[in-house]
Amino acid sequence: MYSERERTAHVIRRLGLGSNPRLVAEHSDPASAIAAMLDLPFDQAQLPQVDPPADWDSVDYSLLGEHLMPWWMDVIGSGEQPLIERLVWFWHDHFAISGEKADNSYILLKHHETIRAHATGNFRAMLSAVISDAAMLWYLDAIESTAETPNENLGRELMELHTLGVGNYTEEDVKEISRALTGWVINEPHWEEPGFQYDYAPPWVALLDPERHDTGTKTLLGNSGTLGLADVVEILLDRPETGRHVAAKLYKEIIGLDAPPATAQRLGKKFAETYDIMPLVREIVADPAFLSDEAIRAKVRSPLEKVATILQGLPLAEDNDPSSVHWILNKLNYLPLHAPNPAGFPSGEGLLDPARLLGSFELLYLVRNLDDEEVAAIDVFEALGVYDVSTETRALIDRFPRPGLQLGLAFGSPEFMVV
Amino acid sequence: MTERNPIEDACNLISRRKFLAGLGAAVTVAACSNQGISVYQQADTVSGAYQAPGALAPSSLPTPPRGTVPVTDRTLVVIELGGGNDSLSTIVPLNSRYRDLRPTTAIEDPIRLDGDVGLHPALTTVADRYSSGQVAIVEGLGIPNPDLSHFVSMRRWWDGTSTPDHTGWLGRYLDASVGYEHILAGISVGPGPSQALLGSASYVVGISDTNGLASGFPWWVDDPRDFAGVWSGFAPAHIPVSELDPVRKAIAATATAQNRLQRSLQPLQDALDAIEVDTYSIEGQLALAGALIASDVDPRVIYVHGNSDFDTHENQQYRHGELMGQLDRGLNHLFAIVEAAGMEDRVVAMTASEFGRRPEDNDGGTDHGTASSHLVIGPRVAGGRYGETPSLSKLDEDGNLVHTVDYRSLYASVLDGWLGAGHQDILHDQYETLPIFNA
Repeated sequence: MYSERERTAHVIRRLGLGSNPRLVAEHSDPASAIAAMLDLPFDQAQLPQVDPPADWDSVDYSLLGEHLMPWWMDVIGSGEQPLIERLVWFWHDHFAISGEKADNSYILLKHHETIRAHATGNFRAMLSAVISDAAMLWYLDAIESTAETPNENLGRELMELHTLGVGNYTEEDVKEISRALTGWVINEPHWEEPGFQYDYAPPWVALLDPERHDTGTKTLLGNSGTLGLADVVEILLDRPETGRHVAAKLYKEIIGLDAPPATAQRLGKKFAETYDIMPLVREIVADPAFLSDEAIRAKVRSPLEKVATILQGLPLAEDNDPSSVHWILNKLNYLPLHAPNPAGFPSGEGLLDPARLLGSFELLYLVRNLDDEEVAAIDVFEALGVYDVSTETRALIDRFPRPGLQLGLAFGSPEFMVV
Repeated sequence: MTERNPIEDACNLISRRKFLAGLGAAVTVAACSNQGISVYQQADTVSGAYQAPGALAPSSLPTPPRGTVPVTDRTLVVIELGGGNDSLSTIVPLNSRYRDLRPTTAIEDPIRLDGDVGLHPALTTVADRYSSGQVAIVEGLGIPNPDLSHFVSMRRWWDGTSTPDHTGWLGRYLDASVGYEHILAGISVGPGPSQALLGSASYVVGISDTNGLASGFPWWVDDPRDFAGVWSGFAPAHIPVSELDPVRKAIAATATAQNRLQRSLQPLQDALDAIEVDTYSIEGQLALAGALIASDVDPRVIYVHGNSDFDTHENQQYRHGELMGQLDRGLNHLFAIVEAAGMEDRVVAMTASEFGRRPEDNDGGTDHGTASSHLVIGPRVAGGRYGETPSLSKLDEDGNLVHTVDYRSLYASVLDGWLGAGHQDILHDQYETLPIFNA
């Protein structure tokens, strides 16, 4: 039903972020595109390091808008490591946090580095790193959680969202896991004097304060002991539900359809043997469902995927401030590191609200003003990585032969709104 | 819809720069005329393309299906005093304990309502309406197991349920009453859609001024005024909406909302210009709320938010006094506009805030607290004092007030007594209701 080019573009769109017409052009069929996408580059792009702020007053709140985001969007726009960027985003969404609450740009930057370091590596290592990460502990109230007053937020979301999935634990497990996760704090600066509160630890990292930790015996999912965070990670990873939950979620991310129960079971079991991420990606991509007609265009294109597509396919505005992308994604309620809730960003029809639809036209600010000749010289749909376009869509756009309007309509077309 | 012009471009640039100075200044983005516009429709949690398997839908309590709650012609205006309003400076205790706790911030000259309490001196409109029996003061409202975090407490006020499911109490009301039938039933006035209005089967439109749902286009996009009209061609009018795919349905809904708001809001601009208010203060937001009610937009719920300056850790007397003045003048505009349209019997306004502030002050300011008092205002309100005044002597271990009434009792009273909704299904629990409305 779809052309070979559309099917090739499907591979690029799902295994990378953005439609990237240059990549599509390099491949004559989906199989060749898959092989190229799975071939990770040896040298990954590295975010330039930033010194930790020496005190509260030195926290630079422009770090995200002017340091992280321009760099990140450059990496996405370059198309050099598309699969890495897809997985970085997937895990960001899986381990959602928000700077609305964890309001410290340095800590958010470190969170991004943690996700990036593990995105194509091992889920066990990533889980350990992320739940002992300052941003996550702050966002899910673990830094308030002490032996006397354990807070249940992190424990519950860790089981419900990050590992087991809802229904695979009891309320008693929530109480017990929360006790096991007590005592974590962030090494913050003193308010009135120089230095940090835990002088033996690096600044701004999360660490366990033994005086705040519940050292008693807990029983989590049938395992008893004086459990702490490392034990919790092991217990959760030992449960078959975790492999299944995470594998099914990645299946949906890549294929765009719900994993059939037997497939989720099979993928999860294999994943849980090592929790290595790339073998799971390869298994999912090899599933015939990936190239099925049902899977193609089954997802709603997210604001980030729209941005990525523009950066990859269209001539960009000369006066484009590198932070424009940060601004527009914020306007579209899709600012990375600012998830609306612990379950992550909306998807599917949740992205089709009028605000995001109308706001999406402002993505045109990222594009250079093209003159009539330039517009005539490019096919706007091909520049957006869309190849099979309905005659109705073509007809509507052809009725208004003005370059700006045509580009705007292509942005708002049903074909561009899905991936 | 507005065309790009140099002023807007400058405005755009300024707000962009301010925004980049810090994420905390995000509200500034909304302060330029064509920026603060948004509509939100939360995905149907069942049919949405991806939810963490089982994360949202199965743990959510069911929203009462559409039609279980009667559709009313009344409107509820909720005024969110973001940041934590110091209700001890709003509804002021007239006792020496209060003055002892507030050496630097006590209100010296409250408007006495009775032997126990007075109103902040700037609340003259509220005081007049109180004396004519149109203001209910509900005291001692709070959250069980209070949390002093803005984020956590606000979330609970938005949710209105002890089992959060990512919908808001008013969103669930809209789901159960108008559903998807009335795209402009729930309107946020502020920098975006309030989470209190998020449902799972209804729309929320967020506007910040009379531009409504205008979208911004670069100057080189030819004649953006007719853009929405052309764009809606992707959802052909000859095909019933129910037969369209989700993308075309969304295009149709968006184009309809934009068109209706544009038509209804343009005539309001003159009325608002005549009052000369800043649409980005509570005062102007309430005037806009009044104008929306008086127009043919016919909203059921208006949620005024985005002003989080009530977090008065310092310089409280000046800052809080200014905000009280804006609130009072705004309420005056709101009721003046709806009274001129003969619609005052269909309007009730109420305040909300994530928490009150600590009874003992702190060098000219106050810190985060717990229980607070709130106002419910309108001609159909049974005026008087309700709830139970929390003790200023028996504070909790952190020195905060011990709440006497669950905050959801206020919601339950409004849902039952004003919107005729039956609160149990919407709040997922049963709460005591207060007789704050005349039959």
